[in-house]
Amino acid sequence: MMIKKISELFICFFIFTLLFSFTYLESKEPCTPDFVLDTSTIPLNDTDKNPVYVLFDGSLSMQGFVNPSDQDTNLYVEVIDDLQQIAETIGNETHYLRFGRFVKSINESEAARATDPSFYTCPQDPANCDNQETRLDEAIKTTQLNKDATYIIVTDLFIENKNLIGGKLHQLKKPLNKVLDGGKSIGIIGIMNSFNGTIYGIPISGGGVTTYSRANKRPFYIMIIGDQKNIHKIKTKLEKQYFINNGDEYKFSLITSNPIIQNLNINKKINGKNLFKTKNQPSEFKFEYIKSNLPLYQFNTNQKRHLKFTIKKTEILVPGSNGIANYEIKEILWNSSEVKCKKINKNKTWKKAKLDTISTWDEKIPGGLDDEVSIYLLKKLNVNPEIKKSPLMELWRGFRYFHLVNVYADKPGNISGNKFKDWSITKAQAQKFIEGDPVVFKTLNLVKLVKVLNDVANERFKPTLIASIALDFNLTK
Amino acid sequence: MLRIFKSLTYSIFGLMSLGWLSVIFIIFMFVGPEPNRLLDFFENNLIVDVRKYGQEFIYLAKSLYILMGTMNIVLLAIALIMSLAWSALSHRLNIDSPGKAKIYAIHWLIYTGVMLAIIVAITFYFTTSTRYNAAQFLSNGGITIILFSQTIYYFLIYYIAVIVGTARFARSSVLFANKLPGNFL
Repeated sequence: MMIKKISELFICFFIFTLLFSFTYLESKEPCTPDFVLDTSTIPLNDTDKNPVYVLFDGSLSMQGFVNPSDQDTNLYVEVIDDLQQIAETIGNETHYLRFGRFVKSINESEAARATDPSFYTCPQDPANCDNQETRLDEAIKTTQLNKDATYIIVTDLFIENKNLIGGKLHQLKKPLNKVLDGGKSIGIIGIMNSFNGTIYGIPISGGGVTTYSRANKRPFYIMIIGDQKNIHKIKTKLEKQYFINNGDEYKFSLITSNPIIQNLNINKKINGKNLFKTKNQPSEFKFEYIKSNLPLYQFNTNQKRHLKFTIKKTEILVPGSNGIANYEIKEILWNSSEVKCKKINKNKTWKKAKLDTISTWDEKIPGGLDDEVSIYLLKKLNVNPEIKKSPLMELWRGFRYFHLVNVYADKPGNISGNKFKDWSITKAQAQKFIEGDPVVFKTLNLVKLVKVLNDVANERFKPTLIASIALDFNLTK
Repeated sequence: MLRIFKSLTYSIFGLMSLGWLSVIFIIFMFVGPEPNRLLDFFENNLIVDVRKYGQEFIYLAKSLYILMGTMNIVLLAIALIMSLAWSALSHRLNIDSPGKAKIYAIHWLIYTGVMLAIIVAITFYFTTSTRYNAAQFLSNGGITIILFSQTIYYFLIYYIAVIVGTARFARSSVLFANKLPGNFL
């Protein structure tokens, strides 16, 4: 009798569980409209070690960095020593070169002399000594030796005007285009250093050049051409060692055709809080990743809600890069007069709206790197933006909506040029500058050079998908 | 009492003179949308552009038809109640001397004004409140057309019913009712 009752109870329980499972499955039935997800174009990092080429500017103007000086800020010798060690850690082999008018391969012992004044002079043959010019274009041309290698160029970046126009400029741009096309970046580390020597090739009004020897400080630069990962490795190591409490004496800028560090979907960096703060969550809120890492926000909402999706710039932008000047939002909005999945699938009620861009974006500090990018979803539906009503008022109640949003970085920013502004002089300013008898000497045409590099990078920039999200919501009263 | 019933009968005939249109319209509304001129009229004159949301009006029209049908039932009922009430009450007016009926014209005007206000309020409620989701498909122009057409139409029904249904001795209180032949009712 007892066993029979238990059996009946068990059968009842089994039937109930079975029915409940079917009901649950039906409610979980997916009912997204048909769409194809945009794919990320961000190249994956190459983790293999490749050769490193270290190029030393052998011009006479560099000698002042290694001459003994009264100043206690002589970092050049220490940084160059460390740089040679860092080069060996990031690459599988290290090659050393010296450049002036031409580029010449040097051996390790000769490279070690870069911290010695004798490196910059040729006592045996002063007439044929290649120490009169800094041909940066020749140095950059060496990047064609190996497209996977990292190039570290140590120089004072004192570029004469004639090297930044016409054919010489073209010679500078051509290898840079190839470098940036191959997904490489250019990092410029500027270090203010003690100086005891003569600066050559300073243009004066009326033509010709002059020299200047009364400066006791001037910056030198480490230009790194290669993977962003290697550039940051070098930058971080130098920063930690020398510049933790000495920010004014150090500047860094990254010039890249790809300032986006990652696609947020691939690395699953998007969560519920990007759209709703915890206090502001709507009813029936659910967040999950569907399809190929597409974050889906499901909720019920009334027409008063404003939908703002935020992205932290630190999560998408390469530190030290130019940032992004414009974002493009590509989106599709579907609506359905039926709200239940079963009916949507049966009657195929998803209808694609014939609307172009209906969302807008904004940032608190234009171009700022620590800020947030806010995407105001559907905002343009509100035809009169002066009236601050929710754009959801323009949608129909009782409908279900599916909003697919792709956020693209559309145009690179232009921060780098300004970073080096106070260390740079133009040809026109040079005469007046040396008449002021400066002790801290600036770099000729530095901003102009950075602008050239930026222009090349911006030309190679391709719109990059940062994030894709989908909203699936019922609009209630 | 017999006269009151006669008045009410005339009033009902007055209501039917135009009210049949309303009844047919209501039937059409509850039958549901079909691709015909009425649907085209709704789409071209009364509603917002639903095509920009990828929708076709015929699939959304059902709820709007129900709204219009329900609204017309209520409006017809109001016109019916108000006209019959006036027809019955007109027999109770205290008209004990010649020319006194004209004084009651003020009462009739106020009564008619209240009726019009009720019609406008009901039309507004159906077309603009959130009670009916279908109202959101109506454009501003559409609401104006509905408001004017419904007010004029139901006022006419009411007016005809009142003209023919008002007690003979009280006809002077109703605009143009005294133009009816003397032997009418």
